[in-house]
Amino acid sequence: MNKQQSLSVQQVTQHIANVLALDARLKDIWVEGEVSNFKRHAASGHAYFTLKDEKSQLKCVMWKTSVARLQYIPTDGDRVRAHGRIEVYADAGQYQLYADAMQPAGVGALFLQFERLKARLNAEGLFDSERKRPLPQFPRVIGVVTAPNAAAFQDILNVLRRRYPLARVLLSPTLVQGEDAPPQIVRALRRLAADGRADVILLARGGGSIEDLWAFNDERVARAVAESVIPVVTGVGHEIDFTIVDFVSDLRAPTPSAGAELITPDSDVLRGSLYGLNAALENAMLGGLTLRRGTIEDHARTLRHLSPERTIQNARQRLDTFSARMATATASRLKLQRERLNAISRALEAANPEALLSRGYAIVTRAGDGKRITDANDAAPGTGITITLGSGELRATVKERILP
Amino acid sequence: MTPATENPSFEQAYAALAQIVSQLESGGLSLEDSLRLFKQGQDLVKRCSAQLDAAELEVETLLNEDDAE
Repeated sequence: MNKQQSLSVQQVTQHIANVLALDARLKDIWVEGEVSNFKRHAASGHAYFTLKDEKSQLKCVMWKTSVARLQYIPTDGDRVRAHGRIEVYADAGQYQLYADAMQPAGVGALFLQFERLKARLNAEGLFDSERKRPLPQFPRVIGVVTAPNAAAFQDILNVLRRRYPLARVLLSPTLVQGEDAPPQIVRALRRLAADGRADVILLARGGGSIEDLWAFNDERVARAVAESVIPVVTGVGHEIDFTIVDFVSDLRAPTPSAGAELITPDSDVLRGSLYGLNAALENAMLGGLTLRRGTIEDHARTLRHLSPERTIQNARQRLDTFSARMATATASRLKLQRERLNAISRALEAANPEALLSRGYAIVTRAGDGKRITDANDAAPGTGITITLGSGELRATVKERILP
Repeated sequence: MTPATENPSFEQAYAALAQIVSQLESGGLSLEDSLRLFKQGQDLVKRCSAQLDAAELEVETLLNEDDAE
């Protein structure tokens, strides 16, 4: 039993390789499992990893050209579906999967992919609120990126007709679902940028399953939205659906219709504000007129105040005051003079010789020459004299003279 | 304040109207200027209202040059 010819290791390995090569199924196979030990060789760019489940492990390699095409870079623990062919790697004596494609497996994995892209773009700052641009208050041309035949587009048109028919809609049609959707959406956005007329873009898709909305979680679409020179509003799915583009866009609307509402003013509200402006216009005009009337009245008051009539009245009043003062002063001076005069006249009265005569004194004059006799020497006996009394005169002759 | 062009867009007319109102409200204008602005403002109100009433949404499709391939 030991006579059987032995084979070299290389021969055995080659044989196994040949056996495997005969199996068509192994040349085009999808394998699902958990990734472990994922490593990208820095120099070569190739990726090496192991797929495993509870019972088995499978060595895998992916050449750098395939790695470059990956939309999703797995990390250890991820459940993935990898596509490729199984061949023998003679150097290590093992068979392995030469993978050329890989996707996350299951809805959980989609979520994981979503979270990972979200974290990456967020780290790049693409979600920053400073990046959000203001929307035009009165959009003239609204670029709409959506599927032309979808209900969402009709919803958008209905809202725009009702709210703001002044706008012009520029539809940039695209698929919104499936593998071709992301590059088409990117091109649709670029068409609008190249056209240049739109002042706001509404990127919209109606509701659907998470897989239906997946194009809006595509990194290429997210970057195209981020790079758009025209502000982008997203209205994807329903209220509860958040997609990556919602975080990147300048404004996220819960639905396509809501997006149409958010980018337009309501013409009913505009009519109201026109009434308001009209009222403000009239008020301002009336206010201006009232103000002017008031100013005129002020001027009139000032003018009245400055009138010479007033000055004249004032002068007249001053004059009256002066003349009154003058009268008072004159009257008191007259009174003083009169009193003085009275005093003098009383004194004069007291000195009046007639008054003396009436009190019993007499004036004696010489009859010959009328000389007033005040000295007995002036009248010798026998001289005729006149004695003037208080009332009447006596003619007499000096009988005797007595000298002192 | 530049004179209104022949056919200002709603946006331009609305902005001009708002500006006229604030100019009138801030005062300091001659009576003649006030009256002139007031009249302009009233014209703009009419024009804006008419534009709102007459507008019909226009829809244009941007041709997809990729479809021609």
